[in-house]
Order: sequence, then C-alpha cells, then structure tokens
Amino acid sequence: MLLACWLALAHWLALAILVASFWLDPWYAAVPVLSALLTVLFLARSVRARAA
Amino acid sequence: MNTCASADISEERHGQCSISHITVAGYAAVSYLSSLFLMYVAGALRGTHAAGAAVIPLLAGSLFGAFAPFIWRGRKWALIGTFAVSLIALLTVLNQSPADTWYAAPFPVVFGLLTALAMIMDSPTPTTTRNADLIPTACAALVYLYSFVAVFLWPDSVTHVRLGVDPWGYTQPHRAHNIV
Repeated sequence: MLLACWLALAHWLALAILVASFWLDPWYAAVPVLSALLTVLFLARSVRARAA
Repeated sequence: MNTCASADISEERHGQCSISHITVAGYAAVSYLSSLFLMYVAGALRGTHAAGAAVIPLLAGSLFGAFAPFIWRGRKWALIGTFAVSLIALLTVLNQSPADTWYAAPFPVVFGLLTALAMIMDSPTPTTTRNADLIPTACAALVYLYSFVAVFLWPDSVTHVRLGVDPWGYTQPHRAHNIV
C-alpha cells in the first residue's frame, strides 16, 4: 500500500516539477492525492487500533 | 485459492486445478496488459490525424481493464465477455479500416484460445474472499485506475515535458527534429 502510494506520488511529482501546469491538473493530481489521503487514514487507523 | 487448497482433493485433481487457475490468472494478466497497451495506443492516436479512430482502442481497453478483475476471480461471463469485446473490436476495425486488421487480429485469437482453455479445464469459480476493509479496497481500485490514466496520458506528458523545460535535451538544435 505504501509502495503503491509512493509510486503514484512519485509519478505526479516528477512530472509536475518539470511542467508546472500538472500540479493542479486533476488527471495527474487527483489519484495520487486521494491515494496519499487513504494511506494516511489507513495508517492512522492501524496505529489507533494497536494503541487501543 | 480455497478450492485448490482443500485437503481432500486428489493429487490429480489438485494438479488440474492449479493449471486451470494459472490459465485464469494468465488470462487476467493478459487482459490487463492488453488494456494498458490499448490505452496507450488511444492516447497516442488522440494527437494525430486519426484521432477519431482512438475510440476503438479506448473502448476495448476500458472493457478489458474492467473485466480483468472478474477474470481473476474466475467469472465465466468475464472470460467470454473479453473474447466477445475483442471480436467486436476486430470486426469494427475490419469494417472501418481493413488495412489495419492485423493490429486487432491477435486479441481475439489469444483471448479465444485462453477462453477455450479455461472452459475445457472447467476452471472452478472460486469463492471470492472479499476484503471488507473499505480503505485498502478503495486504494487498490484507485491505483488500478491510475495505471490506465497514466498510460493514456503518457504521450501527452512526454510532449508537454519536451516542449516545456526540456530535461533530456530534445530541443537542442541537433535534436530539434525529435519534438513531437
């Protein structure tokens, strides 16, 4: 899950650093951002479940 | 899969089961890779004089990609559906542009063979082990979908990058003819 998220982010970041218009282009940005959010949510939930 | 792992099945049945599952898994993998390839072709065609023809690989690729997870789960309708879509795509190309038939011909041949193999071996429909956890499922679906978007936008991305900051020197005078 972490690797997939990292790959999606890396693809978007690599392109957006080269072409600035890709930063906010939904075709490039939507999935990596959503993927990162879901991964953070999943990790936070796992940590909370472990602590409980 | 659970059906293969049952302890009370004979060695012969177990071997047959493994082969049938390899066939189904291979079919799913071929369907997914074909889908990625067709998406790339659609993305490449989009910027050419034949942009209208991009609809065929785009639709066929989308359907192959949509069916691939169901093929992986052993659904017979997905096996037949993928073959039917490839056949329809071939007939459309044959009707619209007979000279390009050979590009579309391998898909029904491969999918037809794989469908026949899976049917002959009577691959069992495995009991799907559904992951009830929403977040990993959503994440997997997103990443799966993003692979298609990334491949579809690939030609466009390369063009933008080449015309933008020129990281690989494509706009240098001696290589300027490489600009798309």
